[in-house]
Amino acid sequence: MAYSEKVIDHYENPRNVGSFDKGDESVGTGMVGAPACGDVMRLQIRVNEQGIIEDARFKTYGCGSAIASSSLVTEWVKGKTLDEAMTIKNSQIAEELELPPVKIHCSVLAEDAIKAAVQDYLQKHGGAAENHSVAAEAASH
Amino acid sequence: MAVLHCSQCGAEYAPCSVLCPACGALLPFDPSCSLFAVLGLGESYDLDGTDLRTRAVELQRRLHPDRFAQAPASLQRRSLEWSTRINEAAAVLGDPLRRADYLFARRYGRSALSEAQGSIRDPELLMRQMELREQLEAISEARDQAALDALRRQIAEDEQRLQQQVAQNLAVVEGGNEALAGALQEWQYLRKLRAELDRSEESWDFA
Repeated sequence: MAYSEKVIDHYENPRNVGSFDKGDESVGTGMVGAPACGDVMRLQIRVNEQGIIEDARFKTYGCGSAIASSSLVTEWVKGKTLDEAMTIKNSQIAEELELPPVKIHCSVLAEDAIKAAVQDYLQKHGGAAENHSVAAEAASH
Repeated sequence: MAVLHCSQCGAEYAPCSVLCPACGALLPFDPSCSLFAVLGLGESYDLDGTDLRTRAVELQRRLHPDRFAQAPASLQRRSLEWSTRINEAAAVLGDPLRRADYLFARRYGRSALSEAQGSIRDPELLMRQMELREQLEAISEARDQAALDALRRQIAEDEQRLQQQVAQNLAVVEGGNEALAGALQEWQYLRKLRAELDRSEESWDFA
């Protein structure tokens, strides 16, 4: 199966590989896996006081599509609010990377990873994801 | 349960029989039969691998397409349906991990290992797998054969431990599906890791 040029680019030059200190209060860590393919994905976000994602890191063991999906997501989330990051859909990732149907689950994994990272950050700051949206809405009024 | 009779000789036969016990005629295909039932086995994790293969080979011999070359199309189709199912049974039940996942699916209505199962978040399991992958990466870079062999032994030990855990869990009626799913998933991860380890070692020989 041929990978798209975009997948190959992310695979050969992955963006934002690495890690942040898990214990840091400003860091949210999402760890997800797909046992069927043996993939493990860790995605981390660094959030500033305004609730904006300033930076992101990932480390993925898996196929090219899984690596490319997580690499792409770390680029996408920078500059986004937590709520915006939560709206990233796997279909957008799959479309951008031109993933074939058999690799769609890799983009699902990346979507789950960013959600898990946001939820981890929110938990550290004393709120579940659902509460956050309500709180953010209330604060904006 | 309804009593089944062979349309050829009228003899009674048990559900999921492939061939009539009296006259050997090929019986109607029943897609609802479990992989255990098509081989005439009870549904249990414990099984004799040699017996399993013997049963499958014997049935496949009786279902060989050459034997049905002159048979009506309906009978040819029937033999193909049974044959496909028996192949599947031999492949799934002959593999201790796939057999366990098949029993898990029979018990809880879903596989613990299929892609459709979606992503998992068990932090302990995932952290451990990431550490193992990092370890393998470092070993590969250093081309440290002794460390690679040690890791391979450790994976084998872990797989054995998981198999025992899975067998114990499946032996009781209510084992708890979360613990079982976790063990199956970890086992699957270790298999992938072992394959990765073998690939890595092979690449040393050619680099």
